Amino acid sequence: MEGKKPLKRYLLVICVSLSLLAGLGLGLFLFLCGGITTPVHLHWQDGDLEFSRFLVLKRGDLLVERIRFQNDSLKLVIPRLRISMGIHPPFLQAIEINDMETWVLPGDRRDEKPGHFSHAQYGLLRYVKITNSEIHYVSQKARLDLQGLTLLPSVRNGKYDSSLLSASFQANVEDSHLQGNLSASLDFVSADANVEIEGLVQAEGLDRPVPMNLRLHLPFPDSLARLRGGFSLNIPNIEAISEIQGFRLKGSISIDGKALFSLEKGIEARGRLCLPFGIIQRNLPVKLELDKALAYTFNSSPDLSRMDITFLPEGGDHSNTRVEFGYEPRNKRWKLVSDLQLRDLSGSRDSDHAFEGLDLKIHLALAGDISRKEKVAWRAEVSWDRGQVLIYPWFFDLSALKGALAAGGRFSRHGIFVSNIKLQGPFMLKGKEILLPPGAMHSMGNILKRISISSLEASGDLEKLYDLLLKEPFSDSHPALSRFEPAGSISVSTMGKVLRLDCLCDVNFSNATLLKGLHIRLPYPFKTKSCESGTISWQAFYLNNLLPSSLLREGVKVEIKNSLVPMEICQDLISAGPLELDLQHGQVCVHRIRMELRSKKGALEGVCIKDLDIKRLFRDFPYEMKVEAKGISAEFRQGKLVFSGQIKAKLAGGTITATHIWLEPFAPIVRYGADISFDHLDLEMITAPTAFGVVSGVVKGWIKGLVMSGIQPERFRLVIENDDSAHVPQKISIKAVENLSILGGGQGSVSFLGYFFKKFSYKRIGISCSLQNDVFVLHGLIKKGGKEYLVERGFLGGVNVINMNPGGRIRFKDMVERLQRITESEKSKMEVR
Amino acid sequence: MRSVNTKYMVGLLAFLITACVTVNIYFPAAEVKQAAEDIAKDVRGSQQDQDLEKGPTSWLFFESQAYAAGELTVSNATIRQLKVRMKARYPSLAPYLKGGFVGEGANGLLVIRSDKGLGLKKKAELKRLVNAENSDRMALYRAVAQSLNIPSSQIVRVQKIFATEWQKTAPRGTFIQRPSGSWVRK
Repeated sequence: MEGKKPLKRYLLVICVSLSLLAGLGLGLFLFLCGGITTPVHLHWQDGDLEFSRFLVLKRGDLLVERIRFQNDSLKLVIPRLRISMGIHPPFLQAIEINDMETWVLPGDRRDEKPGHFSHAQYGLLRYVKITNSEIHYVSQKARLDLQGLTLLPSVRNGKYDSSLLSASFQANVEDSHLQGNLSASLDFVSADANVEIEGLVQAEGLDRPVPMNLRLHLPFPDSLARLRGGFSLNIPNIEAISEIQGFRLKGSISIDGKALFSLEKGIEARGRLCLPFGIIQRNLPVKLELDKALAYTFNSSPDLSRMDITFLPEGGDHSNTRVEFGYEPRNKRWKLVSDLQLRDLSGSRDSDHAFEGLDLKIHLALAGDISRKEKVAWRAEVSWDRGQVLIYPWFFDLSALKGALAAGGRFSRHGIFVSNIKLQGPFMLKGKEILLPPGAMHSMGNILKRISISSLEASGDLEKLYDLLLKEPFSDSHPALSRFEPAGSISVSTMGKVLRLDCLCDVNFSNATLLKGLHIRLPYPFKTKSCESGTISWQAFYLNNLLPSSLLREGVKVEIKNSLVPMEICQDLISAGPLELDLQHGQVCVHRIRMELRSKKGALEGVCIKDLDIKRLFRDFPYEMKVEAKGISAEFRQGKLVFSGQIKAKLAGGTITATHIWLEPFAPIVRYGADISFDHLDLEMITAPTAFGVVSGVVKGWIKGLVMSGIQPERFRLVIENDDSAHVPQKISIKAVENLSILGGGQGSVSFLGYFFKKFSYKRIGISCSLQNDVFVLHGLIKKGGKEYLVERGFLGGVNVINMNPGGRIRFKDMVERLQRITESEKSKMEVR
Repeated sequence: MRSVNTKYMVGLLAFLITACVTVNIYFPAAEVKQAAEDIAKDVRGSQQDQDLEKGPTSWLFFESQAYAAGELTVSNATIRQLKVRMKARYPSLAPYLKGGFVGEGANGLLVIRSDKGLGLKKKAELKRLVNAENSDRMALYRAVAQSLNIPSSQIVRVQKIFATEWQKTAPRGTFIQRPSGSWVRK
């Protein structure tokens, strides 16, 4: 014997060489002699071996007594060794060792070589006790008992070419218990060994034993070295061990020293876990390399309250989760799959963002490689059928909005890439190749600017979306929204860098048709500075249904047919026009409407009104009046539309001019106003159709600072006086005198004889009236002898109407009552003649 | 030389005297208080009053209408219409005031104190109601200020005066914010 040999060689000497030598060389001699009965001492560089007796028993069994082995590290004593074996064919039948004793000696660890047993590994033998058919390994933390060790010849292809070893075993490692049967076939042709262990694992948390199976292939020679990587461990039914209760995981998870994800921020997962892979044990002679790792959690009641995420869940008592983690070391790929069934989930970020009673099914899969060469792939499927969500001012009842979302893609340093997305629910959405850069989700404007979309299509029922997104959230502050009822379809799609909105619908207003066949084509260039063309068109626009029913004359149908308004849409500017509304009795046109999206400024350019016949349009309007305007423009700023230019109306032989027109369309109460001047108005034409009483003559005047709130006047200053240049007869009826007196709160200075006349002549009319703070102030402009005349009589006679109200103040309420009295007197035909 | 010094002294004295003059901007607190009292009573008054507040039915003549303008010193068409809206909204708001969900703030606006115990639908309704009410109240304060020629910089004072009246007329159980910022329950 030469050189330092590893322990396997010693085992070879003990187990195999002896039998080979006995069988092949000395077998015959020993058989004939019956054995060696004198002590034998063998010495070589690695150690000394001696035994006292070597006997050959019947059937070729060998008996060796008082075996002693010693080298620098180990001292071993076996009082008795019996080997039952067959010679032809050669096979091992049984090895009996009685009361083996070992001592590990202090050795020189510097001489340890790779592939050789280390001093520490020898140390394991300290804990091994071998007796008849039994091997016991007992350390402080672990105990292994192999009992009933038997060796039987195995027949393969009609030949005895191997031995079958079997034993029962029990192992305890801390709180885990393993018991089962071990079998091994020792192939004498290839000298390989196959070991199979079947048993039951009982571990802490397992409510019942779990079956396990372990298969080993130990090639010979160098079997221990080649065991690495050839080791497999399978648990056939992974579901069967889904019962490990009380599993807790805290900290970070890493493989090969690289962190997969960190749970350092206080996330604590509780549930059931199976980790069917081994742990590298320092003192074992083999290193168990990870072949496949799987981690499962099954949870019936997760405690999510400590999760440090934006939405802090407050409930979810009936939730079910399942998480599976897999890792393949060969290609360094990992995969995380989770199925969550969340029921009655509630939570809130703040008072504006909350969810309640949410039932969700979530399937989430992540996959990547540990080297991070590949981007992490993700796939998510979410479905919902119950719950409420508040994203103020929007509220969604998911019971009525059942749906599902499926999306997949990759995470990269450029952001979240969505390779495909599909939503089914209140609306349908399909998308492909969408990239959301980091930080793009901060605002809607930011999303539109930074998002990259290859293809996106969304479509839905307009009525449902209108109710959900506009009517319900905003009708409290804008009640008119609740009167619109659109019905039709809306779709949004992307084409390159342009977002296209297409809407085809009918619109009702207060249960009456307002628009039929409304078609809006609105392309929005969200990623390019070039502008796009769109249109708004309709088949019929029933404008009269938008106005109060009492306003339009009966039978008048204000319809605008087959109109098309071209639009140009840029990133920050939308312009539309020209818009021409043919109102049957006149036309209204706007050359261009401009809206600046960022500054919320707007403008109307080239507004015109042509031959607008007010009498034929409006009910209760008794005068022939035509309105004209051209070249008017308006600017919208800070909620107010201010017009420049003037609107002119022809009325009663004179002209009315409105300037400084303005409108606050989005104020809580719509307000508008203007300055109005009028001249050369024939009073007879104006007063004749009314209950006021006839007054003839020509007047001029102005209304300054007129402010209307809704359809009620809020304030104005009116001056009206006769136009001397007209040279027409100026007369006033007795009824007009009386009504003027009623309005002024004074009295007409008509003598008793005066009632015999229907009309009186007058010289001048001069009235000023203002409204502010719900108080009218009425004054006569003609002042003589300390009196204020509204109407002054002529030199030869006539009538004076004197303002007897010293302050001229009339409350709005009183004025309304006085007007009522005038109109009622008309109804009752109690006119004084 | 002495006369020059005297001139300087006189000039300095004149400057100091004029510098001490305080310009008081007139703020019609009494009128605002009266308006606030009347409007608060009107908005939180009886249903009969509400019926009288209906708007005109004709565009040309204000026939068949009755305005409960009462003895208001401050009123106009905008204020009247805002009152109608607020009065119509009040029955929806009252339970939230009584329940302590909404409080009357010291700035004349409603404040959501708590929404615990309310379902999400009710929470959404409450927020919408409060926002709509506050929007109308701000428009009301602007209209009152405009009516009384109060500059917009003084609207905060109008709000504070109105706050007192809203708090007075609030139902029992409403949270009231004191000027110090603390809250008490009525």
